[in-house]
Amino acid sequence: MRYWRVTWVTVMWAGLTLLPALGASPKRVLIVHSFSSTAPPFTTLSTAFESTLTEDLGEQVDLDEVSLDMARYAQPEMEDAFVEFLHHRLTKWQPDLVVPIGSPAGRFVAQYRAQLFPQTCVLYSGMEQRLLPPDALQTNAAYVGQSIDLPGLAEDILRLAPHTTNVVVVIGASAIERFWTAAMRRGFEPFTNLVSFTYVNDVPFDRMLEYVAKLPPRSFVLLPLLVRDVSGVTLNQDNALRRLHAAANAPINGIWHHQLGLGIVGGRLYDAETIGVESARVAIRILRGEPASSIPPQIVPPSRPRYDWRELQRWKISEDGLPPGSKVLFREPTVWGRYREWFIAGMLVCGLQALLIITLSVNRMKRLRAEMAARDFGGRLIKAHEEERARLARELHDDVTQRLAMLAIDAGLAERALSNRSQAEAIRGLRDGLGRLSEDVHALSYQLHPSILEDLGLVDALRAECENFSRRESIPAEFKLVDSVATVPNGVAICLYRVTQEALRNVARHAGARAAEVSLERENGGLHLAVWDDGSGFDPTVERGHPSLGLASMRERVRVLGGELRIDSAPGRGTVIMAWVPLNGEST
Amino acid sequence: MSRPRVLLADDHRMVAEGLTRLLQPEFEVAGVVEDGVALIAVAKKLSPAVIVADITMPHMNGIEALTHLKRDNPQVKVVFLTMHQDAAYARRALDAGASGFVLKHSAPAELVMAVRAALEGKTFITPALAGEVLNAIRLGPKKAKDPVAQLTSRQREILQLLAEGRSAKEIADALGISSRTVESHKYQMMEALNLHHSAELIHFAIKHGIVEI
Repeated sequence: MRYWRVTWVTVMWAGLTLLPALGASPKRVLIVHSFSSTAPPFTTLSTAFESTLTEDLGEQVDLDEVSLDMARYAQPEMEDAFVEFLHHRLTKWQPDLVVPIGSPAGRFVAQYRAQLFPQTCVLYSGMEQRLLPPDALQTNAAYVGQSIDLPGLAEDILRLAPHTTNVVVVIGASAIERFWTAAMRRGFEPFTNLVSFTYVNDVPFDRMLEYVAKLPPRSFVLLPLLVRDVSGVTLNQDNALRRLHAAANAPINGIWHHQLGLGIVGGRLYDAETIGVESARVAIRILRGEPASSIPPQIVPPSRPRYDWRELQRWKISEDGLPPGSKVLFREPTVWGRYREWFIAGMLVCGLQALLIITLSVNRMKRLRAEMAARDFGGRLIKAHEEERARLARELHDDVTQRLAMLAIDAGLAERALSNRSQAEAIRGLRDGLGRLSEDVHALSYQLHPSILEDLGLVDALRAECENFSRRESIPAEFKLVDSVATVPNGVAICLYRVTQEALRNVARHAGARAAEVSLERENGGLHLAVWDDGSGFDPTVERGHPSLGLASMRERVRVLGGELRIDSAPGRGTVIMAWVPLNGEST
Repeated sequence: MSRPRVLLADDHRMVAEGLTRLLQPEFEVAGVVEDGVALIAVAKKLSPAVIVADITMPHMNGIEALTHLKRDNPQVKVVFLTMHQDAAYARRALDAGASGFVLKHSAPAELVMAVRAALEGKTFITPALAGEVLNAIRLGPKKAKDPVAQLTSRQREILQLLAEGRSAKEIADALGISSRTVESHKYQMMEALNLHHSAELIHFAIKHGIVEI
């Protein structure tokens, strides 16, 4: 066991000591630029290549760069001197891979590789396919580039502006540009019966600007490559495009994808960035040991047609005429488009609020209606109840008690007619019984409905109630009338009478009072009734939570008439129940 | 000598018949009416010596009819015969100038006595209620020993607030009534207590412990 562990540690130690040795030799890559460091589209390509390579290789890269700047030093003796210089330089630093970017660099490397770095792999990147020497890929080399479809450029222009009669080709005067000028003259040949092509290449850039500012109608500007003008001024093609765009009175087209947004209208465009990325992938394969010649040459095709919406708008080019699968970029959103989310969110919030308000209003209305219905129903219930009781009371009073009285009278008459003393005595007992029965029925009738309210009015009814209470309960209950109250509507009278009855019943039951008082006075166009006692009192807030049936019915009766009931009480401080009921129509 | 003429007013025909038989031996029942309005009309025409009337009757009750009759002829004599064994009814009847108050079921024993008393210018009250009615008369309008007791609960409530220094407006807001109502309560209290100034009212409240200071 112990033996095995020692062995394992030893192996691990060996592994760890080997790792720094492996990481100590970064891959050496020499990039050969065609022009200076600010020459789009070549710099667009090289930037994408370098960043992809360093990010994706996964190990350290030692990048070295040289620039031919062939545009400036095209003379043969200058080229020889440059080769000499490179030769010296390469004795100190031998690359694992040489990457020429662009056609001028590619042609240079193809010409001098046997002399400068015979053993080293070469990756031709961003080179125009038709400029690649036929035998360039035979030994230890790979290719990622493009093949610019020159007739396609003319086709794209004519698709955008079918009535174009004049295509102005703005191009520089360097060797590569001269090559392209010649290539285009040949490539555009089939269109010359439709369109005349003007090559603005032998004038300085300022003149070019002046020229494009005064173009006749139905003109179109094409900018294939602009590196150096005839006066020897090196131009940054992207900056040049911006200035041309500002000056020109006709639409402009280019070749490269990155120009979209700088002023070109658009079409099938070549993407230098994609070529750079693809080149980096091939470079990585080579650096990882794949034989370069086994990697098939890769021609990156143009993108699907892409257009700048602003240019389409500016030149009134309809989107309907664009080829299928086109993509329109830089679409300037309308106010709606720009703030659509805000509009929608705002409308949504407004909508929700409206919905909430409506829902709440509807609920409120429903509740109010339900309350009204409940009040109405409560009122009708009380009224029906009272009416039924009054009917029963009348029945008892008008019929039963009257018949009993009649019997008593008959008995009295019979008694008088009898001479037999004992018989008369019997009849007298019968008469007394009838009298007591009659009294009881009358009392029952009165309990059901106090006919005194109709006969004598509310004031006498309340006074009688107080007297009856005093006699029955042996608690003196005084009735106080402040104002004369003549006629009180039946509903109000029965309400206040019942409140008094209930309040006095509570006094008798719970209060342990020594005195009580019922007072009636006019107040605020209504009647104010107060039933006071000096008894034990209670906490009305507790009562309110679980009102007794008596209190609840008092409240309900008063509420139904649109009045208010208030209870003023505290434990040990007596109780006042106050009811105010309006006298509708001021009938007092 | 002819029997004194009596007019009967009762909307219960059968009762009226029984009463007629009860009265006939001693009095002449000159007529029977069934409501208060008819009573006034017939009484004016017949000028009976005594009217025996129920209180609860259609159209106009007996007491109201008596009030009308008294206005024309203060000498009119009415004995009420009623089911209401209630001192309030009796008192109201006597206030209106009734000569008697008899309960219907006591009629065989008391009605003839009551009519006789009426003819003699006396007043008969059924013994069942006499005590109660007399008590009320004896006590009369309350002789208030405690002046505070003359006030109603509502008045005391308002007086307490006034004595605490609240304005009529504040009290009105607190009680949910108008300031005018508060002023009217104040005026009524001053009248009931025979006071002449608001200051006296506050003084009264403090003196009688309605407000603690």
